[in-house]
Amino acid sequence: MTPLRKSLAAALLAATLPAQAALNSPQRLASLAQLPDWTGIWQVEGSTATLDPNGPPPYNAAWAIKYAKAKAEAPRLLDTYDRYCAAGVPRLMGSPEYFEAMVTPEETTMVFSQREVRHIYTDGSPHTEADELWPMYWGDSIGHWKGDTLTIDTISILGKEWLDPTAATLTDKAHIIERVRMTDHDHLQDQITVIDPDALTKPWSFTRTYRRSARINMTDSPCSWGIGTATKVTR
Amino acid sequence: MRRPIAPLVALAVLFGASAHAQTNSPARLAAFAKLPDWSGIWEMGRPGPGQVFQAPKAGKLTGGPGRDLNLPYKPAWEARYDARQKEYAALPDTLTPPDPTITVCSWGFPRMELGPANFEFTITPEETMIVFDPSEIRHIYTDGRPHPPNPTPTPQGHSIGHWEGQTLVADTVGLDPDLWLTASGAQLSPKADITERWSMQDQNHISDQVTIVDPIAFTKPLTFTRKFRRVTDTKHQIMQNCFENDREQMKGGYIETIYSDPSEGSSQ
Amino acid sequence: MNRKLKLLVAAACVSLVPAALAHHSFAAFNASQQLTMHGTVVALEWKNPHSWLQVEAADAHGVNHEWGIELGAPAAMLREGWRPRIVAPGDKITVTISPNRNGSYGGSMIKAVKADGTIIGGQTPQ
Repeated sequence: MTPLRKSLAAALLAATLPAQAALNSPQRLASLAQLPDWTGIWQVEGSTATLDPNGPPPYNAAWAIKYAKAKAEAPRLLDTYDRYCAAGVPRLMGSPEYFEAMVTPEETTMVFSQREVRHIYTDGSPHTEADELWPMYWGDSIGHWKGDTLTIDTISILGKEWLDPTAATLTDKAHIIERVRMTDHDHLQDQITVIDPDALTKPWSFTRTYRRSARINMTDSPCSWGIGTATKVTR
Repeated sequence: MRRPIAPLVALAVLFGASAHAQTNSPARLAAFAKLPDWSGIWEMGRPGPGQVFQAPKAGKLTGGPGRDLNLPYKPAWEARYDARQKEYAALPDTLTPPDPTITVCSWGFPRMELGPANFEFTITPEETMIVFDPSEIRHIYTDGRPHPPNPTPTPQGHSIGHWEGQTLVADTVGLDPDLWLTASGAQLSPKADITERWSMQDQNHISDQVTIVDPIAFTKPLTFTRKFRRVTDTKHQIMQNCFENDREQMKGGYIETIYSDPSEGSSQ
Repeated sequence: MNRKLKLLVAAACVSLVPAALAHHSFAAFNASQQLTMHGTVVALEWKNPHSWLQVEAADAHGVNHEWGIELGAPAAMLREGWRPRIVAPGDKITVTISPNRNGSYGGSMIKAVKADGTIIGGQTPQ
């Protein structure tokens, strides 16, 4: 074969798909063998009136004043959850939305009933570079597995999104660490710690649990209201 | 009496193991071994010249990736479609047609595949999930379940599927008829039944052969193939929230865009 | 109100269409015309479904107007080389746009160039 034919043949081989080449590789299967099976639909247990069942965030003096004012005004304002049709992170983890948590080697994808998605990349990537980041509803999440526990590290959240209907908020610099695991066949647990020194006197830690739902279908449930809602501030 | 220690210990170990042995079972791994790896990010590819979603000339479906579809409408549906094109063509320059992707931030299936989105597959034995970055999510259940008897219509419908080798064959019913199939406002009836065959051509190309059967709107089935390529400059999806849109408002049933800087409420 | 604008028609036709514009009806923009203006950045609104660059520029009579220039979604913009803070309020900028048909102060972005001549974005996503 001439060199040209050889390189053309090699290119052709590379471009076409040998029968087995697209199947999950032995390496991917080995990774899957180390991962848990969280298949199912989950829903939070307990009250969704506040994100932390024990009460509001441990605000510092300045933020406590800010919060008291926001809480007083909250009944006449449109909750940001409704205004932007998004609970965001960390509020999602204490919201009524049911979810699937699909675990693969590259990523754990949490998909919620009102079309909110958490991509927790476990491919060894660091956080996105700072110049590509901006405050986002679901932040920028990376994850690591240690045995059966997924540790999630999230930055770049949208601090002004309400954490609950009382209008509690954080700053965009909040850093959220979670440890998620299945405690038994019917329960997931998320131990959440929020670090936000500009707003809080100390790390804010609490735990939420989720029960396996009898529901089997994730039914698409988008918000039904239309454009223009983003500009509405009051109810 | 001697206590049966060994079986008790064995039971304890077994019970302890099953409560905390969280890893995928051999059966599940065997099922994964038969599935393809389509991990990564995929997209339709950037529209080329003339491929942007243009409002078509009255009467014909032109412009945009949907322009090659040639929908086999029955006469009444064709007439309705033509009337809509005339209505949109007559709009003043300040208004655009009430596209549901803007009015209710919803693309639905199969329109999202005709749109400028990227997507990720998550393939497990129980389900193939497809996540599109405009926050549209499809769940194609492959665990043998049937469709629910009377599914409430939703933008994605209800999807079930099975694998034929490395081809995913899916069936979707229960689609919301108020959504648009194309940017020009073509629609389907509530009875639309859509089958797909997803397959990988090579490491950088995946395709979806779509067949729409709609006994109410169409004279015959419509089949077309959407082709997608791998995204190589990005490893991670960033989800979009269309509801933060403060630039588009409804005006008399159509969309008006605001070009001046909109003012925000003071407390937000 | 239709103001007559002096248009500088660029030689090149539109070769790169921001991906996220594709879902709009293109009828609102005058794709066959291009307008280039030199102005000052008021703000870059980095948001979904479209980012917006607000630019203050003087018209042919020297009167300042604020233009709303539509860009793509942030995720698409990143892939083209834009960044959330790539411009700041007060930056001098030259923009080429497809102006709105209706004569309002707006359009869709074709090209943006900083004062030092750097093209903002303009990369082809891979």
